[in-house]
Amino acid sequence: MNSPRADAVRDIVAVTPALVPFGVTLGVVVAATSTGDMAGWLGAPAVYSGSAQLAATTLFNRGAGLLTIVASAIAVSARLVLYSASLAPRFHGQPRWFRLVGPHFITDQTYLSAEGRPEHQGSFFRSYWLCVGCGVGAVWSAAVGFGLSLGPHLPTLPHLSLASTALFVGMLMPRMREKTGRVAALVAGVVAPLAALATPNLGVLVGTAAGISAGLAARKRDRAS
Amino acid sequence: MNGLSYLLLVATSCWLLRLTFIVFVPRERLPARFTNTLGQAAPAVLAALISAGVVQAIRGDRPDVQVVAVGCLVGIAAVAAARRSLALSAGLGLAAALLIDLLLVR
Repeated sequence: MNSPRADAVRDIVAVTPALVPFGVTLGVVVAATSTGDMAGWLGAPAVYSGSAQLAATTLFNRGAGLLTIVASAIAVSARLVLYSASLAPRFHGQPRWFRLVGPHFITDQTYLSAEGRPEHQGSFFRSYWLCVGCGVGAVWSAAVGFGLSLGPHLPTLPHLSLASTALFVGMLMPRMREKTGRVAALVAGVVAPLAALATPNLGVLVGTAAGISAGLAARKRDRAS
Repeated sequence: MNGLSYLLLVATSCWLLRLTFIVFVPRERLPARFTNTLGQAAPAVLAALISAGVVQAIRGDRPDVQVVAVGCLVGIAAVAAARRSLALSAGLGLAAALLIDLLLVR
């Protein structure tokens, strides 16, 4: 078995090429919004989830309400709950401080990296997880910070929000493999802009609720047939 | 509330989400209905954000710009379906924004 720290460094290097462009783009997008640079700088390590930060920043900039922003960020990050459930056995029996602090580092990249290292358990897992979590966090925060610094030097780009929309597209497509996911996405995608016509601040939330309901109904129908 | 307060609230919410089955609830007590809902939440919210984002980004644009913007996103979706790379989606999205703003709109 390799040392946990050596494995962590290998995994940080492996995820960096995918993480940096996403972080820089997020930084550039945040720099163009009204949330402020401080929110961008602190948001990267504090939220530690690009999709949640992007959703919150985008909705804040559109003038959405508190409930919509928090609910959307939670919905976008709902998979973190599944990762939490999957990693729970490896956190079992760990010191209390680690069970409170360690989960902060759960992301797509760290979860998938840890899943690929099942040999690290107990104190070895603790050492691996803290190293990979801090390392990925440092790369991520630096990338977002670079984007925030770069943003103001770019010319005015009214369509820059297409970059964040493209990121959402990149996150959505792998989730469209299952029929229920496609139904949920299709219904949400149609309902959200229609609902936004009536209540601009609630369009995303209403669309999401409609999509979840449609996805659940499709799943029930599939099981019944 | 300013942008920083919102983000700190979102950060706290994400942290609590991550703690759910490690600190708060044993995994075996999870109701099946809740697990099913979790599976549908991500595609639903992402699609809602995409469609709302597209409508907002192209509102008021010339028809040719609207067609190019939507066409670029459809192309990015095709690439993302074939290659699961967020970096590629990010790069293509940025390129699409630059193409539209620097070549078409100006």
